[in-house]
Amino acid sequence: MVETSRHKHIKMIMQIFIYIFCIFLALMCVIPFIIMVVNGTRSTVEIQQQAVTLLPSVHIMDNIQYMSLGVFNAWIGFKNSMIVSVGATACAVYFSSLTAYALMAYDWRLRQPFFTFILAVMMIPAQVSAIGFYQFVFRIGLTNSLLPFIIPAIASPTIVFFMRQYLLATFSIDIVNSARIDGAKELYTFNRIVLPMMKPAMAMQAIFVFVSSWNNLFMPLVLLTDYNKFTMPVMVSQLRGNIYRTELGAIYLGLTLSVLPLFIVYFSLSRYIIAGVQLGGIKE
Amino acid sequence: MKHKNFSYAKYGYLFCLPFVLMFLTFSLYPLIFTTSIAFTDRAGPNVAGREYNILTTTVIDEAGNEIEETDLFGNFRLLLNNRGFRNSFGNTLIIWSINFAPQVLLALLLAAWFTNRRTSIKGQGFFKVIFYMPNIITAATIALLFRAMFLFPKGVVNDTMIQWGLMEAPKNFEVDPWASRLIIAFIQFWMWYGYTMLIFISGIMGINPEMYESADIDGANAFQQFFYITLPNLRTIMVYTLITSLIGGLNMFDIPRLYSLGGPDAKTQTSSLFIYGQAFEGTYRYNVASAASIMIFIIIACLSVIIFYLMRDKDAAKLKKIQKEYKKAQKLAQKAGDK
Repeated sequence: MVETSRHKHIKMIMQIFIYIFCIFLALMCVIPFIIMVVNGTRSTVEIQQQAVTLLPSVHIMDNIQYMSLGVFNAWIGFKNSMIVSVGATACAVYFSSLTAYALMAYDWRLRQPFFTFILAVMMIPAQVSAIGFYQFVFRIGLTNSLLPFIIPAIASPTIVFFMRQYLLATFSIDIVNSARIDGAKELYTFNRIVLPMMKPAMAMQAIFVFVSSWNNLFMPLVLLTDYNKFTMPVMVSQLRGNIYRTELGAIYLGLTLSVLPLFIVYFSLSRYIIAGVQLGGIKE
Repeated sequence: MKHKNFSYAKYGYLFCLPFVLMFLTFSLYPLIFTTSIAFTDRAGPNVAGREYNILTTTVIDEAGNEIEETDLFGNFRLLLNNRGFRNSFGNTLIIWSINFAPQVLLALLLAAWFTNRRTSIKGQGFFKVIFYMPNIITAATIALLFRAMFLFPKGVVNDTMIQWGLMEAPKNFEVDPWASRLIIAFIQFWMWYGYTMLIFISGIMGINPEMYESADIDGANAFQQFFYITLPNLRTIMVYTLITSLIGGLNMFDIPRLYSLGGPDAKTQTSSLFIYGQAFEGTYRYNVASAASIMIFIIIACLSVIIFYLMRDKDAAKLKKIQKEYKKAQKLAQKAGDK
């Protein structure tokens, strides 16, 4: 009896320790963002006097004004990033599903080699071919266009792989066969029957493509020189400029604006996002 | 049925066509192009109609004449002797290692706690959402946010440290190489441990629960269960994490670019920053940058193979070998029997 109560004690102390530790980590995750949002509403003088506070101030309009002195323009960044992210997401999700369907539903000779090929190229980081990509885009005259960030998403090996795994678990050829007997064309069958079945997997992948496309900095920084085409991360990189050196409030506000859409997406879809990451882990 | 022998195979090819075409144009072609540039003198701003050649060097032959000889690996040799390149690769490895070890340890600890059936932690969903959050926020924004927080002499970190009595005078983090490296490593750690934790949790949940139940019956405590069941069964996931983190880490760009611009004194210059600098910051040395990309890629591939080899399941490999030998022996025996 004494033994078990001692065990209970140890267990409770352990549990309290775990909670304290987790709360500490959670604070570490959110505090920088809280500071960012709060300081975005404060004037530079206030920030310099006291950098950390939870009390917002009233200088948000001033900060907006200071922000627009330089090149940072949240609206242009938002618009361009939205075009790129939505376009890339649509391309990646639709065509990856189509490719995965081709791998599952049809028996063609190169099917297995093609799948092996997809597995092989999945691990190649995009940055290896960055110089070649830049030269190619330059030659076809698409620098300062948003297309080079959208069209290539049609070939996304990782998403094809994920979609194939999903179909492997859920897809049965019988549905397709009965559609064929009814005289449905193949692409029609895919669009009207298979695609709706894949909705959960598509939604999950869509979130990740959207976010990674939104966050992409390297290639946009290389390809975009026209300020009207800047995506959000390129806009953010402008906040490093000398004009903003002394305008801390404007910097914090700019940073806040740049990630506001992400926060909205994340907190409204967090359950699916967490489930999606955990699903990705068992793809071995 | 009308089409008893109708083959649907062509649709397989047809539906893969968009993927294949786009892959060839926007991935494979640039990759081949990058590789081929690496062997040429393609430098300087792009001008229409300009020709580029394979690298040559001038050597003096036995007769004393100067002759041009192709020098295929000139750019690579240049890089290997280039202090900037070696420095940037070293920095990348240092920053990645500083972030990776604590990241995996913390992720393992959290994953073990969250999956432990005895100490059931409430609010797990909440903690997961919060820990993972930094991972989806734009790295560019995070880099500038930390830059603003570490400002000298008045910044969030300096103020707090002084208030808490941890420091006497404000510190200029920006000019201290090790402080800059540590901060960048910390940002990477902070952005990624939540992700790694989620991967580990799903890995642990994939382990057969019967193993834990029989361990319970045998009286194994939580530590023993962790070290003898959880860790060995996480091997594949660990290899996966190690390799993806290595690939990501060796391509690290956003944070060092915006947090410190590679400074101070190029001590946080990473390989990607080096490549970017060579190609796109006024020097237009596309050939050298390409050679550097290819070299980094080869290094990543080699390291991945080594990791696979070192972390492979030795017992399984042994078993396979024995099975193979057994089959061989069987065949031999059969052959002998046939005679």
